[in-house]
Amino acid sequence: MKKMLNNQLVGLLAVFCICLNTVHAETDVIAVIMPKTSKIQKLEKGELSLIYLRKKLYTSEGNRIIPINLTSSHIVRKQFTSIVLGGLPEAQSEYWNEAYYHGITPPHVVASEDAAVKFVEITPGAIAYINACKLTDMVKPVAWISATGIFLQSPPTMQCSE
Amino acid sequence: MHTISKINTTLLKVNLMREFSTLLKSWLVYAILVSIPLLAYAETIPANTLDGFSLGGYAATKANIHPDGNKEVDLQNLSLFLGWEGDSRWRLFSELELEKPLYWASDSKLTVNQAKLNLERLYVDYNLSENLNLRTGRFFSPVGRWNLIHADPLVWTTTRPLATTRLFPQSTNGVMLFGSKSIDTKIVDYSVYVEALKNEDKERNLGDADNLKGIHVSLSGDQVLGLSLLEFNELTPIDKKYRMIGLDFQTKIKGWELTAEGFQRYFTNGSTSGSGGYIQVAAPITSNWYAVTRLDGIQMPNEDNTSRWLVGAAWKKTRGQIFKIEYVGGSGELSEAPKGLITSFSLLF
Repeated sequence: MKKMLNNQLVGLLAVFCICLNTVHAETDVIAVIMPKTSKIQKLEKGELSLIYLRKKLYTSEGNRIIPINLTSSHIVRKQFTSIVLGGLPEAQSEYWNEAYYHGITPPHVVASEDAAVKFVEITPGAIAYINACKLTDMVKPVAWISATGIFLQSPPTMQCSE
Repeated sequence: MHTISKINTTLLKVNLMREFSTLLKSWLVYAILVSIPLLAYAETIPANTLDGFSLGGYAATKANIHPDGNKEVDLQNLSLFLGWEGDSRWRLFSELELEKPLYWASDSKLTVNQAKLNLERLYVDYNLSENLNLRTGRFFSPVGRWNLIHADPLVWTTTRPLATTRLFPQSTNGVMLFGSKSIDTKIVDYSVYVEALKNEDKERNLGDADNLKGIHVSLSGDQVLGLSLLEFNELTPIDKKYRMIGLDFQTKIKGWELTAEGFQRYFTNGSTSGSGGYIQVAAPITSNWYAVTRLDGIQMPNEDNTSRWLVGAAWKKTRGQIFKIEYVGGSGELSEAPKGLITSFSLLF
């Protein structure tokens, strides 16, 4: 009886996990992308924050990392910045003024997610974040971030509208 | 008589040439600064960045009404940054500063004689690994917080806390290993540095110092906590060797900012050889105006204790532009820590 209950609990947990991983990506899941040729397979939050604060400028192979931002009013930028850097884009301005004083410029800004995908596709070392539904085969996802800020361990099952 | 007159004429010519040279330097820097677009801090890497080069800087003007009624106005400094980064592991950065290119005081006329050109920083960075870089050249000594970001547009007050100027060498000519690492939700920044060339800047209050070596570690999360440890010699008639420990702290809550730094210096025999620190609060009044207050003090061997208190306001119009007004009081008179009503405007470009 106890074993049966345990099995049922495990089953329920599995279903719950699948449900959690099935998300409406058009509104909430962010895919962090790099060129297909990049040797980086996966990035965690800490590494991403170092990259987007431009404290980490090179990969372990010595290749320059080129982080790309969306415009500061873009919803995906706001979501990404809040999760990874702990504040809205405008809250980072003092940090960037200080970094600029040390010769560190903020990431490039592109106008749209399509432009970010294109830039990453053709630029070695580039890294960007997009709504997961905008992902194409031309770039490689290296992290998945849910709306609640959880770094998903596997690609979510997405329901993207046309 | 004729010879004396000739010498006087020659001296006058030399003085005029010096003034002209200083003026020329000032205007050259002006011309360069004016000729580049006002990039300000920008969201994008500047459009005029050619082949990895970037150009920027800052300018600041200051006015001071001393408690005795004397007045001073000056173009405090003009700084020019030149940097380069390509696709390789190398980076270059330099800062050239023109101090007081124009100065006026109520008891003297407008002059360019106080102008001074300083090479503030000039270094090459080489990336050794993901978390380690090597810096070689002249750089700010990584001691505390203020010393690393002391540019006028980046700080809340026109005057600088005493403890950040008199207790340690502000710049290092040498090598530094530095990097950053993430630990959970926090970032650890670290640097280890050693002086390779003697600091020849005799203008520093500390005098010549050498054999400087130290480490700085900071932990950033919701707050920033930093620790500085250093050792150096002060080249006085009796060579003095110091060890120093410094702690710095900053937190930001709902627009408020609290910053504090404290330093304790010892002779190598363990006896105290100076200490100092400050605590500063900036609080938002409106969307652009901030109230600022600070208490700071320093105790040096064989000197009376010096303290400063400050109340003021700062107006940040846009990123990198700041207008400040403050009243500074306290004990003792020090040229590097003026008292009275002080106001300034500075611009990062």
